[in-house]
Amino acid sequence: MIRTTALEGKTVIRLEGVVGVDEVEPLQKALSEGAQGEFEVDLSGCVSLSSSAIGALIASHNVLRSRGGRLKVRGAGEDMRRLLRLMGLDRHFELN
Amino acid sequence: MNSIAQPRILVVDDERSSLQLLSMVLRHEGHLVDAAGDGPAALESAAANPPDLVLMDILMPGMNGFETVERLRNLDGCRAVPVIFLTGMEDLESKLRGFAMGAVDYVVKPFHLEEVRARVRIHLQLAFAQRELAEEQGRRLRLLGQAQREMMVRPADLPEARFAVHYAPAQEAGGDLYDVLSLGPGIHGYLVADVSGHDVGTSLVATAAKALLRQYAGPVFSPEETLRLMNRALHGWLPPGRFLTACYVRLNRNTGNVRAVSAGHPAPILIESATARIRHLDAEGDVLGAFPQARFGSVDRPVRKGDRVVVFTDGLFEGFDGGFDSCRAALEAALSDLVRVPLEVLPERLVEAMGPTSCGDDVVALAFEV
Repeated sequence: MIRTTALEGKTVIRLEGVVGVDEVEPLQKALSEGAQGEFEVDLSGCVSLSSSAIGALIASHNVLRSRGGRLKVRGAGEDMRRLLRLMGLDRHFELN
Repeated sequence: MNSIAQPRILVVDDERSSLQLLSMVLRHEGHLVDAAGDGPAALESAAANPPDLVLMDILMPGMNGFETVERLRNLDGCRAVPVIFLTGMEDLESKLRGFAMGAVDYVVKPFHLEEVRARVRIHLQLAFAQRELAEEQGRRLRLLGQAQREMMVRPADLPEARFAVHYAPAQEAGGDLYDVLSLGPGIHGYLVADVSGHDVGTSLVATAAKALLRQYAGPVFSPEETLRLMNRALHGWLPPGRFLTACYVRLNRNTGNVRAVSAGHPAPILIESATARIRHLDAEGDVLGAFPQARFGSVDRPVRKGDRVVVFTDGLFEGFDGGFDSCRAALEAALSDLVRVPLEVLPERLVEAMGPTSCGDDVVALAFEV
């Protein structure tokens, strides 16, 4: 499930549970809307990410990169961190 | 779905006269008609005999038409059934709500029977045409999958590479791939990769990746350079959000050296024959095709005759809800039981030992022996 909240001008896109194929479209939508301003992705409630969901994060990061920014990710648990590290994404995204 | 020669229509209306009239008219047209006087009766009927088309009254006591359709969508064989709402209301809001729930059309009461007949006919034709299209696409996908499997090199095609493989795409045309190629006397390259996503596109990317590997795997390039060049080419034409993870291992039997390069892929495993020791060949690297500039780390190990390397996709870890470490531990345990099995059966036995992989991901396990 994808939950978007706005707090003090900052958007938090929270990914919850198993983010599978059905969540990819809402995730892409949330990310492109988030990219209008300042936003970060919260993985603290996320159990598993499908490859398409990771693809959506990468695509969003590449858009931010072309403007000199990076995708901000927070709340990644131990296993999610290991996954991001295994895929080398920790060197690209900003992990908090 | 029933045959187009005799479609089944479910008519739901709490007004007896209108229910009877509609049922009679549609039966006279040659359709099979089930009539239901309320939501629960409609659900019961649809569960027993899934209809090809539903005519649904909106305003009914108890469960209204919207609610009934919502529940209907959860029944086997009714997920995509076209629904025509019957309504006395001509307000925009209820129409929009109906379309949002997947209604294909509206008939406003009091209806003209000719209009109802015409709308029923056109929507049945559409539904059957869509089914034929889906079947045709399924056939094409199966052909594509077959072609993909036929393009995979088999152990007998390249006996000097001494490999065995278990390749089981979950879909008709999957995103997992492997390749084994000769890079000169005594030197072989082994690639296992996984394309993100699960659709027809993944198998096309898989085919392109193999072509690129063959283009850039020659002796002029180091394995890292091979992946870097593949990355550059893939990044140029892959749509945003599409990428591959890959593991590429080059074995030089002349010098007794194995070099593994990773593109965001689970580490391959080296099983030393003399000591039965298991080593993870961990190398860090970016995923392929996602970034314009990508870095690929490598790891080198001396190997001896009889040593084996296992390269696999993360489909092998499907069904493990424990973390990363428990996946690795399970893999080590499975492999230590399989140290002495013949190479030909190692990949298959490993996949079996790792348990059910029916969770929708593809799985490739490839093993080769020095």
